[in-house]
Amino acid sequence: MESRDKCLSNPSPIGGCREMRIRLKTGVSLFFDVEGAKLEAHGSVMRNKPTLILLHGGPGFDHAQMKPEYSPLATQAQLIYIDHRGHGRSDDGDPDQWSLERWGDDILDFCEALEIVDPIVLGLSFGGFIAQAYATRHPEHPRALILSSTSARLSRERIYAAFESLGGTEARRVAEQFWGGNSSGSAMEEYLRVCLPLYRRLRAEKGDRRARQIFRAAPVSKFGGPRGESMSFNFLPVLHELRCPTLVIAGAADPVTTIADAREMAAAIREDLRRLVVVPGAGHPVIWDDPEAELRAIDRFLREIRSGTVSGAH
Amino acid sequence: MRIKIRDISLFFDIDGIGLTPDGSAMREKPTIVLIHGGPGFDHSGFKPAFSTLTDIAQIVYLDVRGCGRSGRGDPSRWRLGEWAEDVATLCDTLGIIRPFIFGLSFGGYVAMQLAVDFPQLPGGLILSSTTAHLRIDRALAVFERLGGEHAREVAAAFWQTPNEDTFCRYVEICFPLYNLRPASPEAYSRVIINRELLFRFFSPGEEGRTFDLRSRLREVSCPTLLLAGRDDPITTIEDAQEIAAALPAGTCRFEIFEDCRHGVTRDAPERAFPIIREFVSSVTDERQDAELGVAS
Repeated sequence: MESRDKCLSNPSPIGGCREMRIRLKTGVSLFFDVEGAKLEAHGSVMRNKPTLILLHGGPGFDHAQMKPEYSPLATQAQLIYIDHRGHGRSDDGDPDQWSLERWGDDILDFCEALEIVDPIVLGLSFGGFIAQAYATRHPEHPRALILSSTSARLSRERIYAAFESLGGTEARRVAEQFWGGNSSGSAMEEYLRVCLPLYRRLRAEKGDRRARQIFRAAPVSKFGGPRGESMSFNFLPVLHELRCPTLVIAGAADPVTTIADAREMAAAIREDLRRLVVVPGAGHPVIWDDPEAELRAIDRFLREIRSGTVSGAH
Repeated sequence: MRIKIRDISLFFDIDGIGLTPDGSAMREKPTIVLIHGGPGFDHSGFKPAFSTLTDIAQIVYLDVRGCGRSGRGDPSRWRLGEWAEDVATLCDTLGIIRPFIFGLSFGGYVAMQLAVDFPQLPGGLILSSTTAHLRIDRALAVFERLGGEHAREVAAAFWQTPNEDTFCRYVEICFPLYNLRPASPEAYSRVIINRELLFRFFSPGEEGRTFDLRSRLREVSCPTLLLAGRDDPITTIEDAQEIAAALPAGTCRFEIFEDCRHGVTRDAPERAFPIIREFVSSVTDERQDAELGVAS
């Protein structure tokens, strides 16, 4: 509730404190933002668009990273951006509870609080881990999944090899230090300085995106630390439980959630439900490196869902 | 989306992001909560026209208690005080602080009730084609001027006894007089209508006929934009002038639209929307300037 209190104690800003949020049944309030109406005037009827929930990457960063690249999808779906608990403008709750399971269950709780049914859930990078936790724990809930620049587990050897080939032994050393569980401030800083620039293969980051996000180090330490979940999580054995159409989007030159990761993740999903789109030359994430390619893939996938070409359990 | 508040489940919809990327910052847009007319109609009448405001504001549409896709609730709670508290509670629950409250016709009654019951809530009030008390005598005179003796008789019959029969004739004869640009049949078929609520609220002796907010409007503590059509047959120009006179001095911007009737955003969107945009922007800017002044 820290953000609410901040709003109330300031007389600011007229016309709304831009911290629209909803309290979940666990007592934790999540920030959310919405783009595009759900119901649209269409001839003599109000037409229902699907709801597309966007789960940001990280950990540590917030939903602002997804704007404005995904905005064009608002013509096809109502977009809902969420800050995960412990991130951005959302509540922390008890940090001991920060886990992929809890973050995933928050998505279900969020939908229940706002009576959102049959959502399409897009998880970007770390958000894709959360999307997999949510969808494998509640396979009947999502209408469809989009796993964008993400993986079912973090394969250290693939990551180290990828950074070495892109940035030499220094990049490998820094990646080994960070992904090996050293989540100290200096290791994180070095990783952000040396390895983060190697994420992008097609378009240089302009720098503004970092500044627009609220960065919080605590969830990075928690998730990436020596006993953190990043060491151990693995959705490969449970992905066959998915019951909805699932689109996997991968950059062919992604050093952190590699193309090999994407292929093994897709291979673990039921054949009749999965779609894999590999974007040539793209790094991490595809939505920043080649947004047109990602939006084309999603657009095609949404049309397939609407036409029933790929249907799943629904 | 729907949300359970108080004793009711409310349908609401949102358009336009609240936080927009702008260089190295996320820029905050104000929120406008739209309250539809009726009662017994729903939010669909605002679409698609009001989506043009999404570049300057985040728009929250809702169906009020008893209407559209929201729960019906206990009919004894179909009252202005309840509707106003619903809207205030919705805003509070979603963390919407100091929104602009836009009320059209009946939605204006709710907006005014909210502004006096929860004066700390609205950052600005936009009252469009509404009244602080229903004056059927004034309305009948305008119906007669616009539609002749027959229109006056049909209107009088409905307001004397609102029921299925009188409403059918009212829709046929009087609704076309409400606007210079009447809603298309398609737009009308998009609306979910709760006639029971409409008839109940406006029956003689019920709240729709007896409410009078004029004496309380001096309690409104936010800037108000008042929009009225010169030839509005149901919430007449005299009604609007009474609202302007009852609001605290210097807080109301009153815009009269010549050649317009009920719902100036429908009859004259090319004039009405720029005024709404200018009001929202200037009130938002003034507040931000005031905050900067306090901080420095």
